[in-house]
Amino acid sequence: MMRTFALLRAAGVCAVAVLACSLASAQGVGALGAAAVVESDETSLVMERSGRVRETVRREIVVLSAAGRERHGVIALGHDAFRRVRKLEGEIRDAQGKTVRSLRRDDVEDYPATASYSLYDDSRVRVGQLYHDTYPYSVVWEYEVEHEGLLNWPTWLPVRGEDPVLRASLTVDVPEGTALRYAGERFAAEPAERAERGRAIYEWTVTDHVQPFEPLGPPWRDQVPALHLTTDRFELAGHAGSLASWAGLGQWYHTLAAGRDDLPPQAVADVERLVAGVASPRERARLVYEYLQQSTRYVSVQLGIGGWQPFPASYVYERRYGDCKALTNYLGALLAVAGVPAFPALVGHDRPDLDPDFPRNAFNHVVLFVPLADGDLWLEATSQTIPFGSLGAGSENRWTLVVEPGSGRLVRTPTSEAEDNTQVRRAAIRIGAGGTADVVAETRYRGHQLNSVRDALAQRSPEEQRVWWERGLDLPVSRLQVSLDRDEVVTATFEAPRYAVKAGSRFLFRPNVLERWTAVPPTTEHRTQPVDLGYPFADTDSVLITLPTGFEVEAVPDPVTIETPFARYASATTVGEGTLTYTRSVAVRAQRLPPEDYDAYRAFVAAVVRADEEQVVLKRE
Amino acid sequence: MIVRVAFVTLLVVLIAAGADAQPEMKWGDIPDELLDMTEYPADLDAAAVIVGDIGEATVSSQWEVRFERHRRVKILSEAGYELGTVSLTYFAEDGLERVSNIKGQTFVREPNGDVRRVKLDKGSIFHEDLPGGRKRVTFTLPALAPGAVVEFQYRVDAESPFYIPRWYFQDEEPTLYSAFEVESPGTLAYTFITQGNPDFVERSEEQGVRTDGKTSHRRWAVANVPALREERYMTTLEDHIQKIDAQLVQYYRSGHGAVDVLKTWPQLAKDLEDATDFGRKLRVDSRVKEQAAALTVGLTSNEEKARALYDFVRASVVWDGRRNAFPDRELSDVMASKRGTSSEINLLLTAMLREAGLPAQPALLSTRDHGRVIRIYPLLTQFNSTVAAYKQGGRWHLLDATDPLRPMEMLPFDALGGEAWLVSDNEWVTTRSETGEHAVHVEAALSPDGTLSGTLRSERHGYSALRARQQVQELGAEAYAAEHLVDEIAGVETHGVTVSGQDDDTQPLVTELAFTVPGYGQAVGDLMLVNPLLLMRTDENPFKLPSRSYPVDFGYPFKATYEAEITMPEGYVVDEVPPAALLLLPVRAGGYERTVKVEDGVLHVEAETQFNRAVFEPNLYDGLKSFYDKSVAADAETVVLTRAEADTAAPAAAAPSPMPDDEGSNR
Repeated sequence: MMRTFALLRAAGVCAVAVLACSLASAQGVGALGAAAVVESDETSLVMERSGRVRETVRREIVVLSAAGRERHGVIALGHDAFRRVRKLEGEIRDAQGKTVRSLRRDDVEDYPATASYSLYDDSRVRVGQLYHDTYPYSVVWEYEVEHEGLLNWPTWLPVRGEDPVLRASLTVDVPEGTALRYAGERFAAEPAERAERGRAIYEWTVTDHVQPFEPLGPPWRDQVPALHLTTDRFELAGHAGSLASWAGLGQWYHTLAAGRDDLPPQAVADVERLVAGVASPRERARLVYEYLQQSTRYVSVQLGIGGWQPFPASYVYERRYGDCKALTNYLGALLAVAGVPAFPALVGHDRPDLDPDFPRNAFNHVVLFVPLADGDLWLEATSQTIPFGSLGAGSENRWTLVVEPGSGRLVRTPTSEAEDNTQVRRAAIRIGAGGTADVVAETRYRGHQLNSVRDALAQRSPEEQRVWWERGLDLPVSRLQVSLDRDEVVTATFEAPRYAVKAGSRFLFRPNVLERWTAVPPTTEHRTQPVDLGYPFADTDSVLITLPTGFEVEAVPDPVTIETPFARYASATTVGEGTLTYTRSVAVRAQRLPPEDYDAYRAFVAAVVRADEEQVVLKRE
Repeated sequence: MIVRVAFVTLLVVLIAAGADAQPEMKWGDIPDELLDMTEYPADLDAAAVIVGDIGEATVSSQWEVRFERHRRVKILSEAGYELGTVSLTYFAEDGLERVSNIKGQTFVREPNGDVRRVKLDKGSIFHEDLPGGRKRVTFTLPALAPGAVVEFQYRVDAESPFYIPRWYFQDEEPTLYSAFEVESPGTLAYTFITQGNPDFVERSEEQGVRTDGKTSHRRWAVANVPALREERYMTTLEDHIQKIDAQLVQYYRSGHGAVDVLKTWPQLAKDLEDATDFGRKLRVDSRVKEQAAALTVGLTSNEEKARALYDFVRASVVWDGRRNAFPDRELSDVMASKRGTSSEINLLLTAMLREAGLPAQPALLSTRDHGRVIRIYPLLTQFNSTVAAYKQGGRWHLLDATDPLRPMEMLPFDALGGEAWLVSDNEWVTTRSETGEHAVHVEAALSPDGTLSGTLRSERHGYSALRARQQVQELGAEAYAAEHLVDEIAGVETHGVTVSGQDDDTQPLVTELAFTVPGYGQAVGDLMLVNPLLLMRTDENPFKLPSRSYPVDFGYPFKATYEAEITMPEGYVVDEVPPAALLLLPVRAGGYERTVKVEDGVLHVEAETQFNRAVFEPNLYDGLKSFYDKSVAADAETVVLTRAEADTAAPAAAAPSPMPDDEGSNR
């Protein structure tokens, strides 16, 4: 993401004052530093018949300097089985309004756009390019995309980048009587409505908007205004469904996945053998889940309705791979054999939480929901390393749509606290006469911290494991050995040849070498976005340091305690007989802070960074 | 259909034909030992082992190539799953190449001892269309698991005798056995180019006859080839991996006799001048001519004209990110659409230079990720980029106009470290152009509470300035300074950032700012610890491998200097300053020198790192690695202040001395 704080703040001040859409006014904004201004961005969505919408866009941008020409000179339209590009045109106009170039056939290319996580899918992208070299100039893009099967209406994003937008509008044109629903995110505008020859027409407008990107904020997509649209009825590749309620969407998904849970006899026998004699449903689920993790991998293939319909369980058993739908469906089938009923739960992974009062397709992932007498269980079928019963951080603390036979209902996923996501380390450092340290560190991880450690270490080569560990240190090490034990403990042993640094007759060293914070967020002014801190966590370190013989302690850092409403830090170094004990704990409890707390958060981090840097001084006895 | 009748051996060269030199690899016949193997003792880091890789290329009397490959891999751990996914890209336009007969299967030992075989099904083989008439086929083998053995085969048919594929004897995992065979008709003569000194266990050449005429049959095999893995500061594994390339040298056609395909460089140059996708493109239309004339009107010196044209092309034409040696489009279209590939942009510049009356010609080169050019093989496929050259002061200068921020005569980083071939003159020029330099000057004062405040000036030249200009353009001056200049100083706050030279790349890029760092001086008991280097510290050794079989290549020589005057706080006296440090690189390739002195309560720090060369051969790796270790140690050294009442006199700086090698004796 590009960051141009200063520049856009300046542009923002002006853009609000600019009301006339003219090249001259755009230049006025440009004088304050913006590289381009979106003069107008008009989208029209016409529902031609049930299940088909024609999206027509006309966008006019004034490019004021070279810095703006590449981002507005390229247009990229995604298309697949449900979206067809019907038209793509463009032209460049000079400062006098004269057309100097129109988009030609050889300015357009079409590529596969298989997602990075996919082996293969049917997404492609059509790319057009138009450039000019005399500023200012205007670029006008016009395109039409036909959407077939309206499970997802296109989401309207009036502000698509950091350049000021003078005017953006959306017109939705549907047959009268169509149950069109809409909901804005960071956008409250009600539409102007009118009826015309049997059609209902809605219109939204945004004027003079600029959105600077802010560090440590939500993803860009969640900083800008968005308008979601949906209709109650949809049909995807011949599969009709209702979005009038969550139950309707659940029913549709259930029908799509129905009858795909057949397992070959050998798989049934595998599961029966696995759970024989185990009474507890939770324990049975654990055994089946571990079997799944050990014998499958994630491979994504998405084709047409295959983006929604899972491959049959027998297909996964045979190939030992699948995507989230296929693996979840397979795990559900295995659990059924084990006598543990389970249900797919649709999730908007890493997306803002859905609005329970606005049924729509808000999902991009599926996990398994297992209601048990001793507490609900959630299983993530796509990871070979995540602990039993854990969800990825992007799937927790949010509404999911649990799909039940013929229905569906919203159920919330669990929320983790700092105490659930821990890292507890015990280390011993022995400093030799030359300043070399022999280090043994044993670290136990839980929750999301364990997820990320397993993600980084499990299924990796020894070399990759060593590189990962070394990245967390900032001193040269040798003879490094790292081992991950399935029981959540990472043991690392290494030698740090120049751990203690000589200064004349003294030795200086940092007691904290294993868990230093080193980066402080930048200072910002006029913060508008909340501060995103990720999942809550707590780390504790306790390090026993054996001093070289012939030296005594001259000075140790004072204990530090930093207490804030959202986080706490404490570190202390205590002197023993020829040894030191260094302890450190940090817990960040909040996941999100209001914009006004940005400076307090920055001050907290800066204080931690300073405390983590402090050194012990030894001198010759 | 070609029927192989009999081979009459005329010449056989067999090298060290061991008893197990050629293990049979029959489709589906997996030995028990292979299924039960759990590790590869010769390389315990191996996640998979290429058990066998057999490639056979047969060129028919009609000069069509049929290539068949059979590869078998033992998966040792999940990290080896990558070798179970295959993606083949080929030229499908006009049926030039076709991929067929893809088969794959996986063998897994079940807990009950049975062997389960799972075949790759046709529906799991995916075909995609790519731009430029290429296609891609992708598949992943089913039922992968640690311990599994997978094998796959496929066939590629090509309509041209040039399309014998390159064969790799080595991979990023160890290879137990790899063999490549080529059978070709007597009407075609090939030469074979090997790289990486493969230690062949078999190498043979036989002449024979088929029903359709005389043939030549060659075979190469290697065994137990170690993995080749990547480390920082290298060009590309492609430059070092063991491989073989087939190159057609001559063909015989009745009535014509022998026709040379592999030409000499002068012949190639002549062909290129006439080629529709190269030399003829330089014969531009009036629009380009007029533009060149308009841009140079009134300019007298060649240098001024060249600069005007370079400035025009780099600012006007957007590079689409593609490097290639030969343009697809007409240069007037490139100029009108204001976008192009590297060859299109640089040929446009070449054409305009010529139109302006300057001595100019195109030059071909190979970028770092494409591998170095081997001069004894006059092959155009060795090149993947075209730049412009013009003569000035008796010397050819290379120009690449693909980046509006890059100064004239500075080549992109990925072009460095090789040679460019001047097409018209058949001359070679080195592609080392500039260096990178960064000089920092700090004036600051430390307060008794440890806060450091002052001003900083940074001056960048060459590649150091280029990278910074890109960052300034993308982020703005303030964010550039925060994220790429003073980012090493934890908790720093900057004020009044100014950048000069951003728009004039004949000047250095100078950044000036004021800064405050709370807690820079660390109070510990009665002491205060101050690292004299605010930035430019080496805090990590980039070289981790115990030894390295390929050179370290930084791209360009560089120099970094740091000067600081830091006023010590009231109430403290300097008790200890780091002694002078002098670290030398092997073969006088530069070094590191640092002095810290105290005068009247002001700390004077000077540090300089200089690398006079960009490339360090493997025999210098130890010395380079040890240099970095010592630099890290030197840069961690601290000034120690004590409270004034301690009444300690400041010592004089120690004299510079070469750093001894023994551990712990700290200069």
